[in-house]
Amino acid sequence: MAADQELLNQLADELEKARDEMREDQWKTWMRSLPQAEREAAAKKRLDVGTALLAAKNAQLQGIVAALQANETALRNGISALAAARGAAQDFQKHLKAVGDVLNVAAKVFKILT
Amino acid sequence: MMLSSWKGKAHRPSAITSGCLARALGAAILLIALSACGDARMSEHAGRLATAGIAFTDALPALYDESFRLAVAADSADLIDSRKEAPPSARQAAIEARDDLLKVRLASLDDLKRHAILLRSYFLALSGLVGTDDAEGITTAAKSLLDRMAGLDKSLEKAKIGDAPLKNYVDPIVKFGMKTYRDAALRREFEERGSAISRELWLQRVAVEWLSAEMRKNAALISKLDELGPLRAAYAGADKPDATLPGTWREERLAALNRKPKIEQIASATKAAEALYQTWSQLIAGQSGETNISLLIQDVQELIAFAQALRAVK
Repeated sequence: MAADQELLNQLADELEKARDEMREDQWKTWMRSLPQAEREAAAKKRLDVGTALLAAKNAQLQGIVAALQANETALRNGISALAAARGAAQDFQKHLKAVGDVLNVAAKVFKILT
Repeated sequence: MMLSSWKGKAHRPSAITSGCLARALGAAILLIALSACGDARMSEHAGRLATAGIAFTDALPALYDESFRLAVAADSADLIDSRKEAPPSARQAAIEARDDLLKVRLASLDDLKRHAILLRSYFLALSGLVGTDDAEGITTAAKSLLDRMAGLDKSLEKAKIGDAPLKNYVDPIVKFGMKTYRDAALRREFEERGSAISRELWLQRVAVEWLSAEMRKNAALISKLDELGPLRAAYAGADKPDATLPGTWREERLAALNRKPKIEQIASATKAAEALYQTWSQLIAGQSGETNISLLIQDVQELIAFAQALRAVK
């Protein structure tokens, strides 16, 4: 997987380099000096390089997205665990109130008895 | 801690209640104080990191939208520049292929947005655990409990631990107790998922770094081919040396050179992602420091300012 990613990065770098060269005035001047058939082939090649570069960049981004998505189970489990911990704190609060209510009743009963 | 000044009533049931409560509170103070020593400010730092994490994930969609806008604008500039000399069939194939590829790019960015919402939910849950509302609620409930117990036995109102009334200890005990509970829950979370969340934040940093690099390149390309290129060509007058410049040339040149928001500010996104990753890694290793948290918040604030500038441009 890492080797594939490395190859993809190299490919993207090479394509980017080629695209940038084809943007230079020097390359454009050279292209215009070619016979028409070769000139059209060179222009088509320039378009193809741009398209291939866009595809390579997409593949790079998709690799990152896939790695992030592989981590989503851990994130979902974490959200559940943290929510449960917070819920337990709220239960503790309710429990304290309930104990207070019971003691309040007990105090009244105790007062009557004494 | 010494317990003293018990002046309970003569009847046994209430004396047992008072003594038990006082001993329990004394033991609680000691135990809680001891257990709290090892994790001073852990929950506070986790809370501030969670707040920064929420702000970070809130800023990401604007970054993703701008990256797509720049990708399309740069591709359009490249297509226009590549158009000359290319046969119509090649142009047709290129525009169709690139439209499809940009749709794929948009789908990946949508996946990133969905993932950012999930990460935001994690930070929100973390923030919920370490938030202060519950602690205050529990303190109120505990005070109410003590008041009701004092109704059961009036001597509780006069009871003291050391020289201070028993009531004075309720608030710190409950807060310490809550803090200990939260720290235990945080420690458990850090042990179970600390490294997975570290990986998540490292990947976020990779994603933001990749997008930032792309945005810089695309902005440079647009500036060269799409905006400044025609302006320079018009000035040089390669096609019509005697032609006058358009009336808007000065303004257009100024706008092209002073394009806002300045793409250099994209560095704030990478800095914030890096700071979030580093701060989390230090927090789960028990090495959280005030400086790290402060720097993280500063970096995230810069990112928010950049995201707001991006939204304002639309």
